[in-house]
Amino acid sequence: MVITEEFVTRAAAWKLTKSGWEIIVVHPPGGQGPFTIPKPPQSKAIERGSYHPDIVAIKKEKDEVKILLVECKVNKTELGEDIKKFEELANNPNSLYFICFRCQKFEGGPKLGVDYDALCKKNISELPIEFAFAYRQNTGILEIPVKINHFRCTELSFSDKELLNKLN
Amino acid sequence: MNESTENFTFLPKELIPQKAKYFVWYTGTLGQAEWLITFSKELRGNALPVSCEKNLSNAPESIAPLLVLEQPDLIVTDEKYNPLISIEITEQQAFGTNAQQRVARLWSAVANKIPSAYLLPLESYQIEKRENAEKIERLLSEPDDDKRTFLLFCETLLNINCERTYLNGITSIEDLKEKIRKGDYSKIAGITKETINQLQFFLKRFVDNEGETVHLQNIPPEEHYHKVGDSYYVAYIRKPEVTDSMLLEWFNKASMIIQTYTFKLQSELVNLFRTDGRIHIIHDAEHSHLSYRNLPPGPKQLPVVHKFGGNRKDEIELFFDFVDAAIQKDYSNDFLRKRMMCAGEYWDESIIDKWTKDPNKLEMITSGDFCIDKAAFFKVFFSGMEKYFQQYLTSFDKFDKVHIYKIYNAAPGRGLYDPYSGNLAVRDILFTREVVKNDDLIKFNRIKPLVFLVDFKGESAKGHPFIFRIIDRIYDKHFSGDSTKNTSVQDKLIWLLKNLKLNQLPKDIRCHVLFSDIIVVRRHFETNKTYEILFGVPTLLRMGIIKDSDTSIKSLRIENGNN
Repeated sequence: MVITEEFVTRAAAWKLTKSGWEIIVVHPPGGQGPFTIPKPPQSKAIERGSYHPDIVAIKKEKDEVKILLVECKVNKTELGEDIKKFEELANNPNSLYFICFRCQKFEGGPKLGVDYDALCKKNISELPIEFAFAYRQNTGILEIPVKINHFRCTELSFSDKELLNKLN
Repeated sequence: MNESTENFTFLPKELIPQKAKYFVWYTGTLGQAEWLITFSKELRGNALPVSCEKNLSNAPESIAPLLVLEQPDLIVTDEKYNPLISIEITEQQAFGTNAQQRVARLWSAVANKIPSAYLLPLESYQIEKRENAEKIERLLSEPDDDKRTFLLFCETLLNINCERTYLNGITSIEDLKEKIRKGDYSKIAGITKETINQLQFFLKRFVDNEGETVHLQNIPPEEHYHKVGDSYYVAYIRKPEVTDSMLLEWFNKASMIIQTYTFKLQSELVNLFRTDGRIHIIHDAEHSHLSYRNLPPGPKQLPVVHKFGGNRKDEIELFFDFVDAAIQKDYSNDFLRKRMMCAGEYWDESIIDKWTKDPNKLEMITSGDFCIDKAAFFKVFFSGMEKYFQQYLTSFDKFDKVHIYKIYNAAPGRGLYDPYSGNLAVRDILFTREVVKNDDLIKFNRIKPLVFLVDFKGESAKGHPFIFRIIDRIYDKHFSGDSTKNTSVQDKLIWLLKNLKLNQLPKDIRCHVLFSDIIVVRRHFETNKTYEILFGVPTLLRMGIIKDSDTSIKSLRIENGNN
């Protein structure tokens, strides 16, 4: 049985939905990412002209709207480059603001979104951004950070049964 | 279907046939194949998705010619693996030549008279960085609300100088619209007799949303400019211009041979910032297996776009109607495509003048298309070498003009694969043939030869391997005879074309040698220029040096196919 990254991405999006997150975009490998973040200057970890997270989700918790960026790989050990990507993003104010800009609320726009103008006045470390890494269970050892430059970072791991779940 | 096999599917049980009547071969994502099966009346419950290996190792002989140049996202075959339709899906908004770059994969279908469909966003929203911060800051900080809205509205239109227009006495949006409708450009700064038509075209389609085709809704003035971090960004509508109009006309011409149609992926303003307007299935309760896979919407989920001819179906419905008709080999309906792809609906006929540039400026303009006199071309590129190339040049006797596609490269690490493979396939049909019904594209019957002119400058002049070094390398890899013999690169190419399938040539040269009558590489050094000149498949076929029965040409053609 060949488990591909597409399986991990959809399983992660499904799990996040069940946890109350609204999925904004899903970018399976081989597809074209609609949620693009301009590449930070001199980024070596981001190979293309812009960065396309595998999943972007938002969620309202109390009075705050949070934004979650997820990178997925089949094998946990392959996530090293993705950690570097998030580290570069998290250390680049322009990238962080751009993430918030894309998730903003506006007249005629989506119901749920961040108040971008208000966020622009905040310190970078106060931006409501979180990161996560998703992978297939039992695929090696790699230390996933719990924080990347002030921002919370979590892991989502999936059994083969969950990865093959037809969601119905 | 046993879930432990390689071809696992997320399709629900009721959609999985005991014995498949059709197969959907996918080179992109499994999701795309399952999306196609789910919504096609013919495929639903009758078809299985099959992953096509990147090296084509599991592709049946009958579909290999459709994959030999490049790989389309999806190919539907019957149970005996006879191809029925080839499909490409591009979610990315048009940018530069990214739509053209995929055309080689559709060319193979046309050449084998297999219908094909290309789903793409013909119009899209675009968010882009802008450098003119001073002006944007000035507009955004205008204290008069009405004036600011007017100025920003002007900025959403084409090339209007908003501040000068305001000073000229046009101070309200309605007044400006009225002037544009009447064609009175005298006080609209930045607009001339030549450009007022384009402005009217834009106003009618995107602001007033008139006509039988629903175009994108213009960006609201207050969403046009934004400061993000320390940069400014603009949100605007990108509509078909030179490269996309060429693409649509390519489909028009190809459709004279076999149904080759574009279908429009819709965008909506509500998604402007999240996805540049693009619409995807996120969670589909009815077809949960399609959720979270970045797939286009299903049929009947979007507004009707083309209302002409009494049509009441959205683009995705029409796409699936076409897919089902192609599977049934019913080629009688054009699904509104002829009108949709022709000049007038998405692109203005006047753009055709911009497809080719002034031939006198061939040496002044770094890249583009030029139609020039053959004699002038020979004089510049073959002067003093006529005798050496005489055998080949004689085969150009019947032509008066040549079409030159010129490119420029200064980065030796940047291969010439994308976008040039597709761009050359576009030029092959658009500029160099008289396309007629039942045409056999693989014969390369030219009315004008195609010249691929590559200028290497800077580091590339010295270091770029295109094209002699690549041919040397691939020849050395495959030729097992006496390699010490002094064989010219031209003869090496001929040997490769006689003995290898086209997919065995690296993608950096594959379409280039197939579509170009001549490839000219110029390396610009500080004090001199060097040339690499190579004659490609159309010339070699015309001269009888290579034949239909040679391996490379055979690899293009489905055996016992529709040709």
